[in-house]
Amino acid sequence: MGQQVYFEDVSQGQEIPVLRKHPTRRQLVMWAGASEDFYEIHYDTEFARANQLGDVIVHGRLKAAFLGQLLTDWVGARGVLRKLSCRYRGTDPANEDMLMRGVVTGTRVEGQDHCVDLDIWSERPDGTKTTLGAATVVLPSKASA
Amino acid sequence: MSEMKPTIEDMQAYVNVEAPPHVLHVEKELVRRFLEAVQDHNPLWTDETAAAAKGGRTLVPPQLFCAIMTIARCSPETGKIPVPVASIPLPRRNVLEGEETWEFFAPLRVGDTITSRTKLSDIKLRQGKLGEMFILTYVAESVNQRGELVARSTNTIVNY
Repeated sequence: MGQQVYFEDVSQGQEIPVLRKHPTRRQLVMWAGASEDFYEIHYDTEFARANQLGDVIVHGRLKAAFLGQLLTDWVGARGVLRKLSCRYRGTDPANEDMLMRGVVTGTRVEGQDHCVDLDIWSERPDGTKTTLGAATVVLPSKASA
Repeated sequence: MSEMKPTIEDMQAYVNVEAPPHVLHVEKELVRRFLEAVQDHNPLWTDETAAAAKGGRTLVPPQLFCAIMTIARCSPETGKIPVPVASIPLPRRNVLEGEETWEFFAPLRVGDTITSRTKLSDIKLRQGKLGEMFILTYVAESVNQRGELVARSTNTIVNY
């Protein structure tokens, strides 16, 4: 865990630290077990091919969980993830690097809360963005610390 | 399972009908499996002292743990295809996740009992690269045992 990030540390256009993931087929099976999503397109190559997919693909919600991790790693112990949305635009094969990234799109104070809005996405090694999303987090303020 | 494929008109009958609630007990072991599957090693989720810094006396799972509450489940009723609501049939054989939004309210804690109520809010028929596709949108609200709203979500799936 790094140092706590504060609202005053953040500005529009700032990129947050990248989270690198590398979901193996084994990890997809672990996610299937944890989430009870046993759809075969995520671990059975023949089944995936019969369903118009090249091979097994990473679960959408596992990617959403990775994006959640990107944000909770960044906001630290005193920050809170308030909202996360994503669109699954492309599929991701197993056993490949996946970069989870985010850029600050705005900062605002809403009542007592110091909110930060971000664009977030997942990226394949060739730069293709397969999941596009947005998020809102609440950070502690130095003024009220 | 019927051989007749439901039509868009058949499916309209399910719109805005609330499905039986889904109840999840937030057990430490379940959270551990979630964290191992995501490979999220943040001590906040597993260390009681770190959790105390969050103002709680019990462990707080990551908010995206909510993802598995309202998630598609492979149940005996639905056979192989995971769907958000088991009692609502799907017009076609295959499913891809489309888009989703989660909003988080009261913090989730180990030991909570979370009740999620989901309904099909919209269904559309589109032509896409996979042929005729049904776009189904589900909305869900999850509350804890004290009746506090924990999460609200919207999930869209593509059925082709």
